[in-house]
Amino acid sequence: MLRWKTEKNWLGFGLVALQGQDGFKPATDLGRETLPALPLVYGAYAFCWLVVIGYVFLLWRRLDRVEKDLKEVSGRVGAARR
Amino acid sequence: MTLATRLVPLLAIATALMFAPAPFMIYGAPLESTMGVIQKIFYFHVPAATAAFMGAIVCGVASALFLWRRNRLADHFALSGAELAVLFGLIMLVTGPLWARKAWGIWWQWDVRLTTALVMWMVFVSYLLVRRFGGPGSEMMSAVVGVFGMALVPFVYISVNFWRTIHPTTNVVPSLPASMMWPFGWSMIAFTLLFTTLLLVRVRLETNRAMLEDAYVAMED
Repeated sequence: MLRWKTEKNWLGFGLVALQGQDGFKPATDLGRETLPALPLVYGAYAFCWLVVIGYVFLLWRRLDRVEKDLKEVSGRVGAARR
Repeated sequence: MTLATRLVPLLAIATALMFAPAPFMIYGAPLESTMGVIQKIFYFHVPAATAAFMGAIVCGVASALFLWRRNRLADHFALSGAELAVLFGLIMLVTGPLWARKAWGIWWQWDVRLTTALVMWMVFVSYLLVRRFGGPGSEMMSAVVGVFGMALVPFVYISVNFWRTIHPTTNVVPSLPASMMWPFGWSMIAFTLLFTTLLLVRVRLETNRAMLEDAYVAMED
């Protein structure tokens, strides 16, 4: 355990200093220290789906816009030729 | 209506049908003995990496064809392949570190597999940047970049077998037990269908764009 020691310096202000550990105590009930995996797994799958759905949405919008423009311009070119 | 246009709805339905049961199959797959639940990322990470490789190969082959024959459709395939290589490469490069954080204790390691995969992804990002900002003639420059990008694929793939790395080797997949191979194979087919669907739609977009440009030119004339 790290302990904090308060001492007064020559100006009278209280100083807080980190004091070295002077003993080790065995833990009696310390849970297994581990990084939880599930948030990482869910994060990976969520990211994957977000990217794919986002791309499909953008692709669909781009395609829709280009097809509309193409229809309009083709109509104008056809009318001009007639 | 072309064959590709007629194929897209069928492919989209097949892709959705393949992806629908995938989470249940992955959930039902046994936990790996040393890594536990984090290994489940494998079922999307490897198929995404494979799709990125497929994008790179499509881009490289189509770029070579474009350089040789000046075929416009080949150029459309090359651009679409590069975009998909970046898309699936991004999934690979994000899901990998999420897996590594738990399995190796670090997000990233500058080892040969991870570094070559990142370089390959950056090559295809540069392909798209050249295409976007390169101006007239950029399709020629980007085609050369595409061929070089494809040349990196075998290096990325075999790197784990020839250099010392903490990344699992290519022996992992052939040695999978049936209980893990089923969900993995299923995800691979689902990702391949997704890749093919997106590729055909993206090529259609590029073909329509080219037709639109031609129509504008015809209008000006």
